[in-house]
Amino acid sequence: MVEANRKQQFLQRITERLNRPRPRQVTPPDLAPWDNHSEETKADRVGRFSEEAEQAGAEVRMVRDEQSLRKLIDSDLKKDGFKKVLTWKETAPLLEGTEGIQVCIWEPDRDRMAQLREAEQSDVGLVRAEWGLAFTGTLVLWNDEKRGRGRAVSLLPPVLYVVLDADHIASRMFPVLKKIENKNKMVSCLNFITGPSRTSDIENDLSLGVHGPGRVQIYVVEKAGV
Amino acid sequence: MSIEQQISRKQRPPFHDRTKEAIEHPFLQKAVRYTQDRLRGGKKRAEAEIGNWEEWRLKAEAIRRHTVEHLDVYLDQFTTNVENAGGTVHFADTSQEVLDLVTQIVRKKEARSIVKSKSMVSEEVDLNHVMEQQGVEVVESDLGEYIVQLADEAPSHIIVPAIHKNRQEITRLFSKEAGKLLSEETAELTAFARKRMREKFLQADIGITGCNFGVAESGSVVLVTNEGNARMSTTLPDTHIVVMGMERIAPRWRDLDVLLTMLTRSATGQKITSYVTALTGPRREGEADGPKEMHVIVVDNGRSSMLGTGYQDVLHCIRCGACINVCPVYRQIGGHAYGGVYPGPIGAVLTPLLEGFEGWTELPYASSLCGACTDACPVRIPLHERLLDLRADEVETKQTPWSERLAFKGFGVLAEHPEWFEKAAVMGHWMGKPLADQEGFLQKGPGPLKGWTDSRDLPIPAKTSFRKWWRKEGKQDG
Ligand code: SF4
Repeated sequence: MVEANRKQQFLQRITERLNRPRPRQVTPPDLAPWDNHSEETKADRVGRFSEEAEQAGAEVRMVRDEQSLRKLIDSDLKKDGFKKVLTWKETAPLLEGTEGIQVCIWEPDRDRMAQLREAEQSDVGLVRAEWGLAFTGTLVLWNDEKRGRGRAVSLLPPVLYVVLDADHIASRMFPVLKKIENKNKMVSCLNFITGPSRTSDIENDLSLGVHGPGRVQIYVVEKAGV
Repeated sequence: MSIEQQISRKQRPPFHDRTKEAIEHPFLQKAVRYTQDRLRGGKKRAEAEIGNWEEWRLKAEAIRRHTVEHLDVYLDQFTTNVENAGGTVHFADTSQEVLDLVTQIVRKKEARSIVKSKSMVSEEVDLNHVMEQQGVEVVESDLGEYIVQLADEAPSHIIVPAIHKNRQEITRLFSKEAGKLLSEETAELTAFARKRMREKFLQADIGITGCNFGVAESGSVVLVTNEGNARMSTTLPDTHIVVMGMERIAPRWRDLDVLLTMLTRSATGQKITSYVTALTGPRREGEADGPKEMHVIVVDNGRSSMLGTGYQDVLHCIRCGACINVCPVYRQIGGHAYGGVYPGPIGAVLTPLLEGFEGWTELPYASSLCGACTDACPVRIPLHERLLDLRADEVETKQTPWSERLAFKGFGVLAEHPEWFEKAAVMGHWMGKPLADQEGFLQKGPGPLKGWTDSRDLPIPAKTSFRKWWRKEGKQDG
């Protein structure tokens, strides 16, 4: 806990410089009307999401339901020649029945370093996005401690598979952020992910996967429900 | 300022030599132009795509103005919420205090190695060198910063730190690190950096990041990257230290939406960066990764001296770099000539404000006052007016000996040929526009401008011309 005095001293200087007593309450500027895209249909949003996500360098697959999702993931894993998959607990059921592939499940209680090493050696990470944002093709990942959703799963493996419920695609950040505002407690780590990890630091030449996954594959599920 | 810093600043070659060096460096010139054009082009497309760009600018400006006007209230709220989420908050008035605070944490954790994600404030306080002197390894994890660190140089652009390094130089640096000869292919060089950095991340005791925005209502630290290095720095090490300028606050999440949109579109033209990460406190019960401890150091280091003055709006800056990408002076001299942490128009304004005029008297003159920076700024900071204010203040406080102003001549842009500039300024206003390309640079000048524009792109002359200032202010002192 910061020494109360130190903080007050620091804030007091700001108050003095601003040349007025410190207000008790302030109202931020009104940003309305802001969300002028709320009338779009779900189909519009799904379409826009896929377009934008692909433009950002992700691959998007549409699937009807969870059953076809399982099949598709299984065949993609084989097609990509992956040997080791890392996943959150809640997405692990999607990998039941995949043969010849090692499935590692992120466990909050297991040794941290061992798990990070394991994550580092996995070919692909599989997670579920809480939300999709149509206007930017963004995935919103909620690293909710209650569900032990490891941050490393979507970060360390070179490829990322993400499942997204078509009903959970919002137009842009604002409506989702509003839901966040209404939550009394923020999750410890909230990630907005748009396409693969990228850099242009070497002579302005684009290169993917310098730190995070170099490939992102998104499965948009029409009718969800595990 | 630490002793080391004073020494290194003293060793800094004079402004005149720095600019001369840049102007005579052909790769740098080409790279700077290419980068400026790429980023500026991206921004233009992003502006067009969003449609009502000016409306967005107004909103972004309103948010920043409101936030800075009520900084005491929002900082109070932000830091209280960081603590409620389990983080530890520290306040630093000076760069020395930042160094002391980080040193304390490093000692307490018995840390041997630190990984860093781009943090401008830690550049301000020269954190890396001070840590290294204490035997702590510091690795910059942004690819561009890593390159610059291996070369033992300073970043030359706030978004693309290593634009001054060419492929051959990078290959040499990386090959030396790798202990074997690497190819010049971007993919191979990037792959090397990824592998090398992975080990560093896994071993590091502490991750240090900056903070793009601190959301007051939830106490969240928001980090914006394309590489994902800030995620690495906040997922693997056990301790996370945030070093943030005290003005880096957004009141609410809905304000963040606007500011983020403006930041990424203005910086690179992206609708959003690959990663935007919001961290609220350290890891919680039930999490196996993320830091066990989170320390947030709120830094003043000269910022509060701008509050309540005509320079208060300089604190509205969101560090997007757009002003740098349109600046004709930066185009000529690159980032290092500015000498400070922040290059381009924002650097020319901010550095003397943060550090005082002493040693930085030339910076407010490193501008042609063409106003392109002001037009580009997503939060509408009147940068060229602030540059003029600084010049006036310098004159008033007699901070500029005439000899130093003459040094500006070596800068070789406009002061070198005042007679051309004068003509350009007069004619420019009625002839300049149609001759300018779409980016606002004069491509071919008529008559007296010809010799000039054959070799250099000339910015459209500003309404308040440098020449006018020169006559009025400059001669008085001379
Ligand atoms: S002054 Fe404006 S344009 Fe320049 S970096 Fe800051 S926000 Fe961007």
